[in-house]
Amino acid sequence: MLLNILFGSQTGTAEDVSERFACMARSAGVQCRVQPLDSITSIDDLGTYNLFIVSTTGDGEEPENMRQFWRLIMRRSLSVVLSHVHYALIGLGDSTYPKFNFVGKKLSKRLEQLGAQAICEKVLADEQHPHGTDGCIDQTFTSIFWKALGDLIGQELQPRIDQRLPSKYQIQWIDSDEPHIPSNGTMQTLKNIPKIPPGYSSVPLISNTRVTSEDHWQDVRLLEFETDLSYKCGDVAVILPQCPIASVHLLVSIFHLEDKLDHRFIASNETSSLSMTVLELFRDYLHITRVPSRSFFEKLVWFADDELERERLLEFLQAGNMDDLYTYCHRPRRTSVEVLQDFPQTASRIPFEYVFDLFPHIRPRSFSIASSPKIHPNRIQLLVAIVRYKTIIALYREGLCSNYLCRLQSGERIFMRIATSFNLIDDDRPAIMIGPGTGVAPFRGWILERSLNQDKLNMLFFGCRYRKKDAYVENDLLKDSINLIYIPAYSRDQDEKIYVQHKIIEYGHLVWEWISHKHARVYLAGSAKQVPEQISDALKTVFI
Amino acid sequence: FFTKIILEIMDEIFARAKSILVIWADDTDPENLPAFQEILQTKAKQAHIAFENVQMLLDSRRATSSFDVILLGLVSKRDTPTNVDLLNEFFRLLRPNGYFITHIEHAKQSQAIDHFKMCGFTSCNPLDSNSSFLIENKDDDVKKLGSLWLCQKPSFDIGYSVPLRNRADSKTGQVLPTAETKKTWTMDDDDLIDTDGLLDENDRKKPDVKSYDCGTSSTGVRKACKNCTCGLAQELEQEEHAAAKQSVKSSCGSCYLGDAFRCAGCPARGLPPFKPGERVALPTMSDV
Repeated sequence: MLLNILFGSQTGTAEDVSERFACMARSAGVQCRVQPLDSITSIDDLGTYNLFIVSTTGDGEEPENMRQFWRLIMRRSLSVVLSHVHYALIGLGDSTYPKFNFVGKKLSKRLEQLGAQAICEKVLADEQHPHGTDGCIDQTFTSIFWKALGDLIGQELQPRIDQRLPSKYQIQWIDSDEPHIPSNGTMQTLKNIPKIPPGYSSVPLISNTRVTSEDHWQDVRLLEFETDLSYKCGDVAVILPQCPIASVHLLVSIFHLEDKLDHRFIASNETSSLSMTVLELFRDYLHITRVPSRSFFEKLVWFADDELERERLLEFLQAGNMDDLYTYCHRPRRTSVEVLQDFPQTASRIPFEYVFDLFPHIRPRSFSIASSPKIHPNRIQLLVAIVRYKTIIALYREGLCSNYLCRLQSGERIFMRIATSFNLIDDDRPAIMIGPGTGVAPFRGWILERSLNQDKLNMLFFGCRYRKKDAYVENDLLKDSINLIYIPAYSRDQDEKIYVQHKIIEYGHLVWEWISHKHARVYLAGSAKQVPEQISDALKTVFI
Repeated sequence: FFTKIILEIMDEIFARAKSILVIWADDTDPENLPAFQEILQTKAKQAHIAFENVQMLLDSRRATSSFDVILLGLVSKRDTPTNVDLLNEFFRLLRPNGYFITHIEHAKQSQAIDHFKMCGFTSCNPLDSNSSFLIENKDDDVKKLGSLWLCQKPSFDIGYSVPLRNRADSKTGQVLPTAETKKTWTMDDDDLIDTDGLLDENDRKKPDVKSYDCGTSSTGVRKACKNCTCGLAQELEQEEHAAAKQSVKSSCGSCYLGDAFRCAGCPARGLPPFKPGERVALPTMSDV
């Protein structure tokens, strides 16, 4: 009997949950296979027992690693082809977004339509739940799922969290001074070879400039890189960040690996093999500052000998104590390193090979490109809002990639690749652009580029808080040579809050004229939370 | 070749049907109904056959998705005209993948096909056979000037929306070929269903956050999102700091252990663990 655990994950959460259920399965003696949904290339690939774990991202969209599967399962020509399939579904979402868990909802309806049979009631986990998505899942789904699956296959399933499972990788240390002879026989020294991840380029920073005033709470940077990577307006730069070096050193000292920083090792298993130094592992490969999920704590139990620490860990993991764990870890955004700091005895007993089980791989982050290849040849500019805030923990909470970029000095190199994102159609039709905050990034370069042709009309609704503090596009776009109707909304410059949607209504006559008589296109960029709804409401008002 | 395939599939459709609805009109000779039923029953051995007058259909409000095949206006001499209301009702009554069969005059077929498609039917094809038992009761001239048409309801229920085909396509009334020799009688194009149609009213409602059972007395606190760039996180930070400043006395004696072991009012809350009797200076992260 094989349990297929299939996930669609954008930022790693669904993948995390999959790993957790895989550990539970293995500890209950159930063979399982964990794969991203795009590994399913035909309906026949779905086995008898399947657990779908799917997030909703963007504006109600499916994560990238299940896009192809989506196109497969939503084909009109399918009829009832899944009557042999048993499935359960975990949806992951955030109810502050209007299209809450749409992917989970749609997939479960579709599976039903196609005849698949539900093993148990699905769960639509909500980040806004007092205990986060993990709490949601454990409260309403986990034990019911294992019981129902057990009933189905006629075997009682008791996942045990305290049973140590084999590590994902085996480690082999290499003496870094001697040449290493790989199995194909060629001699190589592995010292100091900068490895560029496939698909990426190493790109140097030219300048890193703060574009919000010093007295403003938010730090927004304009970063300029030198590169001959080709791109067009609307594309994103995909960046692989590093973990902050202070956190790396802290973790190294917790693990007592200070004298092994430069040591190189090979991590291998049946399907893959990696080679790097300890420093590279904790700085470039593992996301050591990630806020750990429940499974992190479950794994710590495997190594907890110290009575006090073990007791506390087990207490955190009790079903009735979800609030306690949430208050300790998730709510203040405590990082994995910080948790290990609080459990030093346990941490020092973790065998090195288990680091791959405890921390996920760093995921790349995308930023809309704010420059234009025609206006800024050989340059890529990014507008980045630095995420930095306080919780009850003394040290600031910092977004991984935004802070990585924030700390860059000129000359330093980063790993970057280009991906398409926004489809900005560059023809003669006028463009109405709505871009509050850093959402304006793609429009900045595009407006500059379009202004090369004075016949192209452009209208930009830009929203920020204060004209003098964070209206960072005005320097670049308010020039005689730029063909632009610029309509700003400064939300806090007056008593009542004014946002872009208010301005859209105020200038409704102009918007209407452009759309109905000039065939203008409307583009919207920014947060997917409330902006799209409010903007479309405003536009509807204009049209009526 | 094409006709032959269709006749074979017709046989299969009737053989598999469990429930058939025969719609007759006022111009049907009632004497013809029993005979029609008999011959239909021999073709559709496992089917329950129901009869309904077209005028009464909408009032009957039969159950959704309850028929595998609906036959319209076949028992009468002349054709029974269709309208959108009627077609919508047929669509509702048919199970997904169910079939609708009727006879249409050539001159009226393009408008009829338009209506069929508007109401959600796919794979609308004419059956080029004058000898089918289905139209035995029709006048010869009606048979000569028209065809039997077979349409299918796609493989999922209400909520699905069909993109309206170009007016130009439907006017030619071309026979749409099946791809290869697939069992499913639908166009094997790459088109996807409109996934929004999968959701009903309830799906679009957001969950009531206050109703989440957190199992303890925790209140629904405002939480800043992970990548807070709007300022709520700063506000919460001020609140947290104000609260922390108020508690000065430790009541647990384990301040030197990390937050995992400290009590709620601990003055060392938020700091890393330190050696008993010693306070470690906070290592500053880069303040760039």
